[in-house]
Amino acid sequence: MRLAPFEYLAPESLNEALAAKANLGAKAVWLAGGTDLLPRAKQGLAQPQTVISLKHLCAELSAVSQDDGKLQIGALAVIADVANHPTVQGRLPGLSEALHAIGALTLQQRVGTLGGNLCADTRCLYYNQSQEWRAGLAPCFKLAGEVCHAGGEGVERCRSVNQSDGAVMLSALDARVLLAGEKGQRSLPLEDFFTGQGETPIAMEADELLLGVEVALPPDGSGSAYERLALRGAIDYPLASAAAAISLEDGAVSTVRVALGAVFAAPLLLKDAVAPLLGQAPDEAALAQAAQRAGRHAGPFLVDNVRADLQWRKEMAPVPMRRALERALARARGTS
Amino acid sequence: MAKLQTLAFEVNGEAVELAVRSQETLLEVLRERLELTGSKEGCGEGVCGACTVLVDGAPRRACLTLALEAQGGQVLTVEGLADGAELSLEQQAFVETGAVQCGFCTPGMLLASHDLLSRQEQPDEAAIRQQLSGHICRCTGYAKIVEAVALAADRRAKGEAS
Ligand SMILES: Cc1cc2nc3c(=O)[nH]c(=O)nc-3n(C[C@H](O)[C@H](O)[C@H](O)COP(=O)(O)OP(=O)(O)OC[C@H]3O[C@@H](n4cnc5c(N)ncnc54)[C@H](O)[C@@H]3O)c2cc1C
Ligand code: FES
Ligand code: FES
Repeated sequence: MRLAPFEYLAPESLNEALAAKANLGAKAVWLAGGTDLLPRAKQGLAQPQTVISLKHLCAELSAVSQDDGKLQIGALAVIADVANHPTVQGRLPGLSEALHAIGALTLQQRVGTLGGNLCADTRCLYYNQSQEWRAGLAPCFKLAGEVCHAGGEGVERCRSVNQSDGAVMLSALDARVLLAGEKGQRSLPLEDFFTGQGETPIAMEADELLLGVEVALPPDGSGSAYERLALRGAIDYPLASAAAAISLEDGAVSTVRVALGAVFAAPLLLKDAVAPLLGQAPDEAALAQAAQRAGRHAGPFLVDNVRADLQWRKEMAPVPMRRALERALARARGTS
Repeated sequence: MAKLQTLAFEVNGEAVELAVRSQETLLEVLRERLELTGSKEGCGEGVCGACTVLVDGAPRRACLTLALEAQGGQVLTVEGLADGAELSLEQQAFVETGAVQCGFCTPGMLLASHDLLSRQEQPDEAAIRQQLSGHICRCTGYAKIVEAVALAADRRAKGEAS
């Protein structure tokens, strides 16, 4: 498979990079590890006129540092380095699990970046295919067409899904992203970074660059966990995934945040499903009920867009959720 | 048409300079321009691992790496593992163990093994399997490959020559 021609720039500084992007706008794309961008470019799904390599900014944007109870992770930090960072392993075990689940050790985890993982495009069985494969079908919403092959008739917009393991876990951890553009910097919660629209899943302007991610380190008595279902143990996107983050006060749940992946164009935050756990010291049955509710709330979002039977996904959605809740709670209680 | 740019890097210890197009992948440059056809293209989209080479010591899918990303870097391919007629530790172990059948996955497997052995003194079976999990083999069933890497690690620990 060959790439179509494009120009290549490798700016030496952040200012130079931002100026180039501001000048070229949406015709230019950033290149970090390339493990999401290049397969899409080979399939003609991304057709950049210019590729702007971020490789000279690695020194500046790869640090993982702690400040005032917050962990800051540079966008170009390599996935394995974040997953193996002692603070991440100790205080954010769910994030370590999610990042270890990505692709394979010798690919995404040593080459892919956290920023690339967050900015990775949404995916669909009918979209992430070669040009020849797609030629047999009318262009879908994500290709500026007027149909969703996964959702079928009556579906009025793109139903591609976010399958980024890091995005789902960081959403449950209520992380924020820091963006830089022509007009300066801005910070926003991940909840607003993902639009929920399959056609344009990320709320970044054409001149903007993701600088990094900020996660508040949870207080003592907190736990997080990540679970996913996939066909293979490696080199495979999740068919369903779940992230949970729980904090306890005097043994009772004081905060709980959960998100499902591979369901919706953004990590699907399910606040109502877990709200009944607040103030409780939940047992296994209560967690299972919360997971069932999460599965039920996710149901309407599911269409036939990943490589697994739709009915199976509907029935299985609560399973990773229950496992993630159980492990997050055990960690918060210090029993695992 | 994108302009040609000069790519200067080191391949298997030798300085190389050539003009490439922006969209050329490292795999295309290695195989088609430098005639180093040891690195294979299985899928071309990052799934199989057959194209794996080391760039500045880290494994990379050459099919998903723009050649220009290796500017100024050091690339190691399967052709650079042996010392003349003498096979590397991993290569010798693969041959002896029967870890090679059709051989298509072997260059990628060897470089992944080389990377693991350069980072870990005595990797256990779990570490070997995790390292190789990014590589697909359609012939061997993996057991012989895992055995070969363990043998190479073992020999090195005992200070035996291959
Ligand atoms: C075989 C295979 C299996 C995979 N399995 C998984 C999986 O299981 N889970 C998973 O989550 N992902 C998976 N991926 C996708 C991908 O490898 C990861 O998401 C990876 O983390 C992407 O990082 P990258 O640095 O390679 O991104 P790139 O490909 O370089 O970039 C991804 C996107 O983000 C943009 N971008 C990158 N950096 C920035 C920045 N700093 N600011 C603004 N925009 C930016 C790029 O323009 C591009 O659109 C898989 C990919 C392959 C090929
Ligand atoms: S050819 Fe590069 S991973 Fe398959
Ligand atoms: S030996 Fe044939 S693919 Fe591995």
